[in-house]
Amino acid sequence: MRESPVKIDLEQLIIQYKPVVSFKVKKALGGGNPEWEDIVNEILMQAIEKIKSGEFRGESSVGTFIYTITSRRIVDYIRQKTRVLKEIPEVQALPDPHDQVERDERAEQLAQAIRKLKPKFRDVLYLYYYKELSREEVAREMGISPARVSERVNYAQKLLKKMLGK
Amino acid sequence: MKKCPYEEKIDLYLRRKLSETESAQFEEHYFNCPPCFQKTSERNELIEVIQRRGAFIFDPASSRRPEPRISLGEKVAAFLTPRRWVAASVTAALLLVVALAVVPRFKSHGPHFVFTGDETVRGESLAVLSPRGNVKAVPDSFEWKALNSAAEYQVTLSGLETLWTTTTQETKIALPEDLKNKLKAGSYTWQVKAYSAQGTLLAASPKVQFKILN
Repeated sequence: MRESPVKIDLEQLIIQYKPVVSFKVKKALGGGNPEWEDIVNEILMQAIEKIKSGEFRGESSVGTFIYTITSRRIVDYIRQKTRVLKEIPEVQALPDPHDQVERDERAEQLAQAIRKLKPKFRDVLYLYYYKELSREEVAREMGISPARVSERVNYAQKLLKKMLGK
Repeated sequence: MKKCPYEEKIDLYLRRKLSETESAQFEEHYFNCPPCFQKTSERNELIEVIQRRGAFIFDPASSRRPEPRISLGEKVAAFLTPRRWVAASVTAALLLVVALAVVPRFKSHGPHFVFTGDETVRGESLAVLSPRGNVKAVPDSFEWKALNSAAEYQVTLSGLETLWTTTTQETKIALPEDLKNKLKAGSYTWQVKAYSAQGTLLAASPKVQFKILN
């Protein structure tokens, strides 16, 4: 085994990249997919092994390196899944009930907070994310500039963070 | 703090408005940019909640959406469209006409006061001009100041008893010749009372004394 030419705090790497990899995997496979967590762990293990073995030489950033592993693993998973699905019908496992309760609770708090926003913020969220109008369409609907639409969305997000005490 | 140029793409990425290549570039970026990842993750949570619970969040029936603050003037202005302005004006005019036509019929009469003696309506006064005090000869006439609301005056001349009473619409009246001849030297009083067109006593002067000297 070759020695890694770059010194990386692996513990710190996991702390920093686990949420990022999780986000990307869930986005690609869907948060309801019960395998997403296993895939995330596999990706991180693979990254650590490659760093330890010296395969990662620091030619790209650590972020890009982990992103590449993540993307490939997702592509592999989808290919494999497509092949398997052709042979055996998939049985959907239920998501972890504990996680689900926690997610639901947070979503409920956020939903309540959105309802308490002033109409000018709530309306922009309604048109932009619920009705899925373009930024320009929202601007026309509300009689404001497109830049103002983005400002209101960003400000609404800040208010919500404050309301939820994040 | 300088804003990362990729922040502009957060919404486009999450709403799948980027091409495959742009999407991959954005993903690679947030793997390298913790602030952009943080913002993307938070925005994603917001969008997911809105899309899943939008019916509840934006339901006007169950929403605690505060009513817009509208002043009374704005409410009236919003209510009174040009057509309503016309309707309101016509209604007001009709009501006014009805009120003017009907109300006087039902108008209650004020209390009717019956005056006796020297009682006068408060605020009205009737001043006599002549004769008063000592006069050298029997006066030819009696004169008083006009009272604006008066339609008729009643003049009374008294000695020990009432000697003469008459009415006039003028503010001066001549003493009849036969009475003039009867009056001798001595003290007399006279008084004038004012009446309205309906015969209501409006004012009464004080009883004025005059003395015929010869």
